[in-house]
Amino acid sequence: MHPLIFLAVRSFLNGIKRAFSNVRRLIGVLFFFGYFGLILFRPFQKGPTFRKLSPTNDALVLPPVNTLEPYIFAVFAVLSLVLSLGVFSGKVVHRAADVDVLFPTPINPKLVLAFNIVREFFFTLLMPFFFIVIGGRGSMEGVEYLFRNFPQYGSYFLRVGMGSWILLALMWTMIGFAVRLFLNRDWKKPAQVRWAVALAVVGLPILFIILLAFSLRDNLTGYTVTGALGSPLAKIAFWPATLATATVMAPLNSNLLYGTLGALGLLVCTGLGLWGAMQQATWMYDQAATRGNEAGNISSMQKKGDTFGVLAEYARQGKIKQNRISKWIAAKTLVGAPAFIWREAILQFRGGIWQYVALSIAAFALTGVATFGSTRISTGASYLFIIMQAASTFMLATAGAQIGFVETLKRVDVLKPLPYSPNITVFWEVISKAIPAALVVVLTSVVAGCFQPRLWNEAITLVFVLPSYSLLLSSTTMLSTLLFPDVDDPTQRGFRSFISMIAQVFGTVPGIICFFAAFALHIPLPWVIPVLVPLQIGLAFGLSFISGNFFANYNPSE
Amino acid sequence: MLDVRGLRKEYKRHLAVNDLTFNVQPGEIIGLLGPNGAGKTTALRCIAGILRPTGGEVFINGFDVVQDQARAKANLAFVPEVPALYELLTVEEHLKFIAMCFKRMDLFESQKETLLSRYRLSDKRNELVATLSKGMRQKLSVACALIHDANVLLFDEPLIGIDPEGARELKDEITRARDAGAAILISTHLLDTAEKLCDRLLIVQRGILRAQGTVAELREQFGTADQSLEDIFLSITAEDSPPVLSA
Repeated sequence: MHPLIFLAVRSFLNGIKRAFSNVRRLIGVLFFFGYFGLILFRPFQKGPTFRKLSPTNDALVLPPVNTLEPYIFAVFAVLSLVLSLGVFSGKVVHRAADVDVLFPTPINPKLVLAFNIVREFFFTLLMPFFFIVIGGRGSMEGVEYLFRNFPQYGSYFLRVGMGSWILLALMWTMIGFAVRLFLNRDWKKPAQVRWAVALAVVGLPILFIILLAFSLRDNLTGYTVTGALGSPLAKIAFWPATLATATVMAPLNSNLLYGTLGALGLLVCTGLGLWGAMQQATWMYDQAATRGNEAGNISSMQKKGDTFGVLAEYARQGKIKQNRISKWIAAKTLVGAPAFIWREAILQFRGGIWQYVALSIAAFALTGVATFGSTRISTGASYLFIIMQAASTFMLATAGAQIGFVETLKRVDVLKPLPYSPNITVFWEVISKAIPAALVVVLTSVVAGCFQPRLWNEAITLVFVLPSYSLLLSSTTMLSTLLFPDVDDPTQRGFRSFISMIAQVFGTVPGIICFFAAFALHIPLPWVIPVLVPLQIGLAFGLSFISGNFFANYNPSE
Repeated sequence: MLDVRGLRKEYKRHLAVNDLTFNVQPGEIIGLLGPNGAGKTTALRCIAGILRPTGGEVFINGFDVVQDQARAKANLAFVPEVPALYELLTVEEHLKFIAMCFKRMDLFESQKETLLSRYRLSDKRNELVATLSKGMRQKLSVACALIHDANVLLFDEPLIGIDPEGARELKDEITRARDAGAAILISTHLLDTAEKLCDRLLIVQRGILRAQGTVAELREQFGTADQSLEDIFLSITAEDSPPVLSA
């Protein structure tokens, strides 16, 4: 057996075996396979199908084939442009073990590169093929139903369309490999090289778009745009879209020669991209050992939800500078466990959360002006205000908590030796993560109350209720993070997110019940405060206590 | 056996290794010494064919490590400072993988028990690398380097993280390899180990080779007969201006 196949097969099998060594891992794996199993086997289950729908339901009314082509071409042109822009982002990613173990061996670097391409893109590019073949049956029924007036379209459209899209993506992926290996060489003037390559790859399509916008500025209609998209210049500028469109149109206009040429063209370009990458395989080792590993680290941390790890990596690369707010906070002092809040504030502001907060406030202000600008306030506006604020709290609190608690797990060696019990440590961690969301919603509630005094009852209620709601959400996220703490295990990550979402929804239930009761019984809203706030804080404290016990037993080496 | 000629490596505008020239003969252990950031690891990675040199040439057994990678690496082993291993392979599978890469399954069959037992890995053979401690990983990395009987061995801080017993075993192993005719290059901060283990020393600072020779030769050149290697090392690396590339 070839060593690279041995490596892939053994790693896969050992990964599955490892999942059975731990109940938490097993739950994650079962969830993972259950989810994909559902996608795969759902279409084979008996159930109502599109064919059983009433024949009076509308079928798709399509224009003649010839007029359909520019629309398909436009879709592929946009897709191709987006994919072509993607070739400049990121670096060729390698695993650290590749650099230390694989690269010093005499295995041909071209083979290593091919292995890397398959490993990185198997799931993203080849798995969709698998799903089309097996899972596409149910979708096909729907497509055929829509196209039932044009049976010659429906039987092929979905498969060929998806196939062309995947071929297009595969082509740009291979070209992307070649381009990235080229761009990341030790160029003396990397900026100039980058500009030259960018011009070669996307210059023509962008020039065409500019020309199109300029020429149609006085006569911009659907008709003129589709006319322009049918021009030879458009076909040349967006040549990948031309090839993909020819492939898709083949079953529709029965021009199989063009279709075959289109698919072959995409395959040939894919091959050329691969060849271009292979020619630079020796550069791959250098880039992986110097810069590629950084990209690999960032990519891996992003997958794990380790946002602070990503920020730390950017800081190491000199891409993050200290800002005034974090410096100002750093100059302050908080003694004892509240120092957790001080640390969190610095990290959040240094990590760029202030931009997120500012955007939230701006978005809320814009919506608020639009919604509450009138002098009359209806019950509907009152509901909307409460729902909007609760939704803001939900989004801010869960985002902050999910980011922050992965950091808590990673810093367990720093946190555990501190002179606090695990319960106290966890409780202050929960509070520190809940504060940013609480501050934002308190601020926006006060602003809304000042702006629209008729909403003052709602605003004052939310000022008290939402911070405790944020605390409760933070504590549910902490518990689900500690229940499934393996950030390296993708199945456990997925399951943790799922459980976390359910827990957060449950955390929202007390609030929904209290507000619903207040509205139904016509009780003034501020009466919700003495009931809901202690309830939410009590629940948060209880969940934190449970989390504290898990935290005490958490061992990152397990 | 290992011939480095004018090796140069630039990272953007930082010059990590500048015109490094030396050779390691069969049956010789060379110590590569230098302060942090001197370019030792970069030099070793260039020699191992992981980094592409900006200039200069590296020949292993007469084969250029850039132009003729496969043949140059066929008899090369590299032990990184903090080895990143394949976490989802077991200890034995990791050894097997390396043997497969070097097409030396015969050695895997004959040597694996000896190496596993020598580095106290026998009872861990079926455990995933992910479960190993830092020291055990280092031992596995050394075992992987020795499984294919390379005649050019590169060690980057090999003794860091290994317990005293393992360190003694590794030093004996290195000496055995030297006696068997291997050319060995060791990067280390442990000056007393370097003094006892190495036949010659190279002292680099900011990418430049500042001194080379036996300990006696270095004493003669840079100090007095009663000075320790530490004193000589500190005097050689006391001050220097960084070699910066022109804009």
